[in-house]
Amino acid sequence: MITMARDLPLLWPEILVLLAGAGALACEMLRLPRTALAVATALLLAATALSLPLLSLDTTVFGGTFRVDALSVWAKLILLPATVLALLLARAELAGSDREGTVYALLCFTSFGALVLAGSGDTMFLVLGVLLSGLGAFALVAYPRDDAATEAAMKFFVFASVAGAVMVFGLSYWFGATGTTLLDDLATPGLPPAAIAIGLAGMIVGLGYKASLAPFHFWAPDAYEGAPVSVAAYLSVVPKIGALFALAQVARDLPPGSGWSGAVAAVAVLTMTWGYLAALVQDNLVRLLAYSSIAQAGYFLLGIVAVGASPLALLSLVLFGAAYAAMNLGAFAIIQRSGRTLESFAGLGRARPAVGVAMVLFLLSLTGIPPLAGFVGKLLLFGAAIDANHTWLAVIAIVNSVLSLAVYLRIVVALYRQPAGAPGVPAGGALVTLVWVAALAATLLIGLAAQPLLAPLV
Amino acid sequence: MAFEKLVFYILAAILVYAATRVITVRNPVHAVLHLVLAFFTCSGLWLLLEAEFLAITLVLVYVGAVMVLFLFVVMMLDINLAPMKEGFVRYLPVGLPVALLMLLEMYLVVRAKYFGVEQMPLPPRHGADYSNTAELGGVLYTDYVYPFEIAAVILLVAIVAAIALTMRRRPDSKYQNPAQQISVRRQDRVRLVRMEADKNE
Amino acid sequence: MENVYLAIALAPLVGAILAGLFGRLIGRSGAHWVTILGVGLSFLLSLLVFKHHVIDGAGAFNGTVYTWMVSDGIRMEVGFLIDRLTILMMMVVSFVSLMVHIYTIGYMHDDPGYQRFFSYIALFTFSMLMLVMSNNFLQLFFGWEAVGLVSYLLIGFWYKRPSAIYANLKAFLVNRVGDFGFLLGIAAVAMYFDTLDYADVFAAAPSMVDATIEIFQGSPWSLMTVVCILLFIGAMGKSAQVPLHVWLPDSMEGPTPISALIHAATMVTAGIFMVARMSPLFELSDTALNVVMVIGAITALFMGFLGVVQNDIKRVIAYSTLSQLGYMTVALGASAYSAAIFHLMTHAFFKALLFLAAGSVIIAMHHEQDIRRMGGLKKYMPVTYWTSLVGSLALIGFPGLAGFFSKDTIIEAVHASSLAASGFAYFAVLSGVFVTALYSFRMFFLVFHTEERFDEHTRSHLHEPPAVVTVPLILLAIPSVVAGYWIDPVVFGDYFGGAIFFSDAHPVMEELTHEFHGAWSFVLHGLTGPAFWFAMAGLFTAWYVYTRQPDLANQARNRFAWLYRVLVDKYGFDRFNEVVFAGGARGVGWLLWKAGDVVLIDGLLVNGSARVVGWTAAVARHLQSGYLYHYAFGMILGLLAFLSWFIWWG
Repeated sequence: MITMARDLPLLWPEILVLLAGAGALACEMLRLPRTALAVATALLLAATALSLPLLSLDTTVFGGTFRVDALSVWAKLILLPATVLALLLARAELAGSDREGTVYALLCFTSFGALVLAGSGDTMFLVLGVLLSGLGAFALVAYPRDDAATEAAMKFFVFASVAGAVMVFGLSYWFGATGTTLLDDLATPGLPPAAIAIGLAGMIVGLGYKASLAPFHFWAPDAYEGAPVSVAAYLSVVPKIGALFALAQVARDLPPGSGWSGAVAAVAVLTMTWGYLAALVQDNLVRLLAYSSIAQAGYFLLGIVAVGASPLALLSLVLFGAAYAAMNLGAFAIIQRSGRTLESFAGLGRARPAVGVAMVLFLLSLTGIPPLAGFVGKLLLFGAAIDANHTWLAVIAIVNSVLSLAVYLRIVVALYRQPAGAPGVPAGGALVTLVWVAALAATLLIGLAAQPLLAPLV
Repeated sequence: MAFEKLVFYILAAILVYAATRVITVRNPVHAVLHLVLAFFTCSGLWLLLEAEFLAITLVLVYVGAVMVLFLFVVMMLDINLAPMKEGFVRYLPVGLPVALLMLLEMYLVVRAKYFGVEQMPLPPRHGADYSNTAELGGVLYTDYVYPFEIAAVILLVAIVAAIALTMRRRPDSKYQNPAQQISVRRQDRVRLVRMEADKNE
Repeated sequence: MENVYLAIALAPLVGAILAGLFGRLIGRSGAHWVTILGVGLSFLLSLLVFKHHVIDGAGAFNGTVYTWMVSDGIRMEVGFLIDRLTILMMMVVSFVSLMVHIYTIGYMHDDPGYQRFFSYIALFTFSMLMLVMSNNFLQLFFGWEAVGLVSYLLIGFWYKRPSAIYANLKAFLVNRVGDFGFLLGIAAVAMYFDTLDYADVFAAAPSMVDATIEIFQGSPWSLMTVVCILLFIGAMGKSAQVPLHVWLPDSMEGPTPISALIHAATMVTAGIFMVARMSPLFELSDTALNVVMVIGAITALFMGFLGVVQNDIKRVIAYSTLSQLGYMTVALGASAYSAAIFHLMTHAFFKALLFLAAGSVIIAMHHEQDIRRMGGLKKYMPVTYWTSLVGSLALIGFPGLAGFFSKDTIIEAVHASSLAASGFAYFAVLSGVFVTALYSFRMFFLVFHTEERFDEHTRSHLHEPPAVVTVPLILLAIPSVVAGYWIDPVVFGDYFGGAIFFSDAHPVMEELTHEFHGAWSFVLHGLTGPAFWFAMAGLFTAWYVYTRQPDLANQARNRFAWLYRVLVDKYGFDRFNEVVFAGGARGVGWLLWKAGDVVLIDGLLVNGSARVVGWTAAVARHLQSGYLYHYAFGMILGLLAFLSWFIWWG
């Protein structure tokens, strides 16, 4: 068929991601976990490379249901390398465990789900993406099969089921009112805004849960805490960015006057403030970073509010997405190498200066201190929000950034404190080191080379 | 036309009753059976809408497979209902206003202004040669082939996830190694022992 | 040349990174070699740049090295402005830093944090060079914060001492006040000029003279005054001007090489440099110049008094630094920018010399810093003695030495200034000369002359420190003597060219230039001026009181006990901060705790909500995973809120 011949090549990256998952499964069947890792990594990198030629496109495939536009392609360029880093983290943490290869396969499938979300041109993709990126995630969280992990996965699963049900329920009304599932058709003039109210609310619940936006974030700290650190790192980056990009895809087509921007701005304020306030009292670093990742999701919303109103919006989302992926994965990698509690970080900065400096840089970048990646991303987000006449939102975001300094400085202080007992600093494996070095390089590169990176995008 | 309306109202009434009973009935087995009833009436409604394929699939898949599985699960799990009931009552003061508010708002949206018959054009009637299945297939394998395939992947992931969680190698479980079994030679397994005949005889 | 500029800045950074991250790998000697090579390279290249621009006469370089990002039309860049002001600063910074690096080999010899220390001071050199070489406000601010950061790290270098941690925190907090003003100033510049580039701002400044800014409704203020005063608040923090000076004496908790490099020669002069760099802005506001002059005069005189009652050898020098910074600030206020920079340079040499000499004494005395337990060190430490003498004479402005030229010029400039504050400032700087001589030679006599007041054990180990300590002393003594003769081109000639701007309304330097007839006649003229006699009086007083009539000091102390108390209390600045700011903060904290936590959170939210939703908790207990119900309920409430919002809106 004609459309197949045109459309399928545009989906090569997705197909390769699927193949990566399937290949990892096949290797797992043969009990070859190392080969599974190698196959998955190679195919994911190949998928990243194949995404590059698509960068200039702005088109859709299969009758407008899936978009191959800047947001969707950048999602691949950000999320696939992030998945590779997560694979390496998982290898370092779970090597030798039973069903190791399945973990790699599930990571690939979950990333596929995130890509489906990021390119949604149709409400069906929203549903499928949320489902697909959830199913694998439950198994990944429960993977260690101890009590903590099982409980975490159970909460995650039930919460996700309710959220998913609400979303599908809402979207069915959306379909009833508009007679179509295409997001493009939302822009049809004359569509009464209230008709899609249930659909919009349901969709915010579903994507909000996936992106852990307040008040749909409750599952995240529990699930991250019970899960292996590498899985927590992965969940805090890949599905989250996928869902946020999906929100941006929806925002592009919404009719004006639907109350959308006000609602998103309110969620942004709630998410940022709640996340940082809760993070302030955590002693478990995984929980702390979980709340921090909730708060960071609120910053993305500044860009989503501005979609359509500011030329900076998409740019800021992409740049902050890349920055967030790098700095968050880096911080998690160092937690994986050094321990989950604040106490286990005591004196790390003195015992291992390079690790300490890297962690400080990740944390400063998360705060948004120049000249690191987080600053560039947040600056653009603030600019986008101000462009879109949401100056008050930008001001609240800046105030929250100050609050976040208190959150992150607690870790920095711990890094350079005298350890209470004997300094039992574990040596990190080569893989973890590779991950944080790569993340650090990205954090610095995005921060320092902002203009050269931005110039072709603007 | 009048008969169709009559059938619709009967089926709709049964559907609403069955759905209400699903969440109010005490015994979980009864609840599942009410759900089965709801599915049946629902598929009847879909038949009226000329969605034959979907109607049959609903019965085959949900009634035939999913609900039976549900019944097994419900029967195997011995659920104690008393505390749930207690929780329900205690939650009511908060839950009820929220539920009522939600209901009100949904009414505001779903009332005739947006979802009334006038807003929805009547779909044209199709002749006897119209195949619902073929139409569905035509859409499913062209415009919607991508979501269709993704749905397939979701099923695969669900299986993989379930297996990854439940089937683990256990140290005490025994495996066959076909390669070893095939390459075995007679002298590895059989030892000829020369025995003296029993002298007692 | 662009690559040379880059290399000057980056060479110390490379050294810092190698020593900091791979310190264990390259070992102690590796750490000091990489950093010394880096800083040495910077110094040599700075000389090359000097030759290129000053001797060969190439014009100033102003170029962007790297465009970081462009946001809303404001370009954020890394760029270099290499004019003669910058070159002078580059040479001073890299030279003093190099001396301190070499000296540190001896001073920190036994310290476990050896590599870390070298990494920090090389990092500091990098930051300071970036600060002075900047061609825009953003990079200036980065350098400003970076030198501050390294300074805190180094004050708290011996983090096991509680006093070091306290001093560290104090420096951090006080500097935040200054930085806040500085940041507001930069923000105002960005807002009104729409650019952060020096050249663009300076070019646009004259057209903004009459611009006003209304911070409070109905009271328009001159924009230039507001901007300049905000920027100057930043300078007050960094250059330790009253009342933001309190951190500097405490910063002496850091190792002595740091006191020499950061808290005397370079970082604390960043404020002076900044104001000189901003001369095209400051010249436009007489109000700002008056403020600058008054603050400087107060600092110059009153901080000097405090030096007289201090007994810690490093603190005496610290107060002397405060006082000298005051002199520079006064010069800035009098529009004698070149004199301020000239004094900055000579001060960098002789003050670094004095600190390093003090460090030498401290090593020899086994980390004894109290001058009451020294005395008579002349015969044990001849090199330290003679170099200290040179440094002290230069400090008090003995004719012919470096300090004389720079300080006398400042006094003359203040005399010639027509600003409202110049009368008070002239009195302050002139009296300051007497005080300077008094405390300098009080310390000098108590340390090197008078009877020995230490025990036998110390005496047996007393000897001149090794060459890595004494050689930098000698190398610093040379410019302390001869740098003054450069006065002709630097202050009165056209050395600075376009780098510094004088408005026609403040023709101070022009007047002085008319009266200047060469360095030697300047010396002769100085011998007849009041400043020289004030200095001699101070010197003589110190000699008489502390070597001839030691009782006199005690009598004076008893007679003027109240005055002594005031001075020992440092005018109560610390007490004031302690009571008002720290106490206030504690009070506010207590209030918040009482009102916020106890009443609101505990009383209303925690207990109240416990009662209100107590039954929810009961439900939670009965159901196996109650929390999940809460989560789901939260989600449903969220859904309800959105639904209402969309319906009400639509």
